[in-house]
Amino acid sequence: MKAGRIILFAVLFLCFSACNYADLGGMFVVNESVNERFEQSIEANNLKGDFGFVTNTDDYQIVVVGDVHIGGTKNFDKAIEQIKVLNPIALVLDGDICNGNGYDYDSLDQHLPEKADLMYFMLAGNHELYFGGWKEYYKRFGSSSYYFTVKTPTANDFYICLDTGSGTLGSKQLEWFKELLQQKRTDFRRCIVFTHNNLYRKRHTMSTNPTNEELLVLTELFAKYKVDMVVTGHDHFKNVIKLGNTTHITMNALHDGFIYAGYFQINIKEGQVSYEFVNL
Amino acid sequence: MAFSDVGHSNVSDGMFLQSSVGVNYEFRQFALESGIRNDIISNNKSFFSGFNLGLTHFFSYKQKKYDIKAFFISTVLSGFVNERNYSALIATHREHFNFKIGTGFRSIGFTQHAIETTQTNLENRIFEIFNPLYHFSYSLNKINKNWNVGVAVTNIDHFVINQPTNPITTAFGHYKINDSVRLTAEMWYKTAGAFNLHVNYFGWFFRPGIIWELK
Repeated sequence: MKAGRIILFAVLFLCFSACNYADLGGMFVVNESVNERFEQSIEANNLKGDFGFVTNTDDYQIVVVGDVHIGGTKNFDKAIEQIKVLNPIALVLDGDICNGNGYDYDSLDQHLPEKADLMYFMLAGNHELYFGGWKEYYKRFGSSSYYFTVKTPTANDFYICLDTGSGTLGSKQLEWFKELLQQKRTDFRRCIVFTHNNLYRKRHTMSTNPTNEELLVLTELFAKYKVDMVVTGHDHFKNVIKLGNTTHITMNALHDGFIYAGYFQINIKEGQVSYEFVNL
Repeated sequence: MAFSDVGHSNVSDGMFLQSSVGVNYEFRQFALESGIRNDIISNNKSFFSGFNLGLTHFFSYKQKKYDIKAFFISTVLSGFVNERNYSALIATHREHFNFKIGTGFRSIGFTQHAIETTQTNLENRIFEIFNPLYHFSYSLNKINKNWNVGVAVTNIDHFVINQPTNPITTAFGHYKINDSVRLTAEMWYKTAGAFNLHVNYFGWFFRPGIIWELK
């Protein structure tokens, strides 16, 4: 009886380990810590330099998608076609766009738009890191911790991308984020943060958000530096939380077969931020 | 009871040192307990960073001992933001094992200092309901021995309740000097992201302590 249970557990463990969706070993040990990834991200930033858009109008849009989980690309292709018609200034791929396998990254490469047609920014979610996936990510996309700016005729807006693929910013990225807000926030009208992990738990789920202590520190930073919006995915179900000055968005996933699949649209109009969840 | 925490975390800006004191008064089949935590070396701007209050009822069912505890925890971890937890636990103790499960309501909001500093309306709070709580421990010796060592997995501490998906691992030990005084030592290791299948170090701390029992 006891041996039977052990065998059953071993078989289940092996089946789950062998699946190409989740990397069970990552519960105990991983290839790169978030601090190591952050250092590499900064190296990539130093090589590339800062990125800034200049627009000749005060009103513009940014579209965000998350949790595509390529493999399947049907919803992703459909969303890209719709987003191209919207003609936003940029598309942000907010993590879990693929599942970390090399062939998933190959598939993503084939379905991404040309940057000349639609400028996009990518950041890593936990699934990008599975199966040693950070190396593939870094080779193809470079940094996962960076910022870009939008200069309109009357103001500048600030967009920050953070790596929470490991459920924490880590000490180095947190320090960088604090310094970034301290040094630059006052130069900008609006500040929006993109990261993969949703921060607060509004429903019961097995997915992890940052630890309590980190959550309180981030909540303080968002309030103190008047971050307008934090856009996340990870939980797969849309949610809006208003806490102080900050609107926390969790987007619906975009993966194939998901009944509520969609993307998220940020509208900057007359200096105000509004948003829309768009279903496919 | 008095103990200190010395350690490091991703959010501590170096080492931190906290000290805590608590009292526990037992009467009939009840215990009333309360404690406070002070941040001595820390990036926390609030010296008083934690308060707890709890009421426990001890009872037996089918010759097994249980206790039920209702407790409240208030923490000010950043000086700007505070957190309140209203929780309940049921616990049972075996010779070598200790199991606790429960549920809690949590709210996060801003302190008066934050509202004054930002001069904006930060009064809204967010609420999480029915967060699962757990604590499983194994002790090498039977519970009533003079000394013991063991390990535990939990998301509950005296002044912190972590999300259920952020478990904390601890190793603990105690030595009973006499009928009244017990020395304790605990080592806590915290991770992030384990349930995202991409685990990362979050922090650790060492907790020496002493428990006086007055009869």
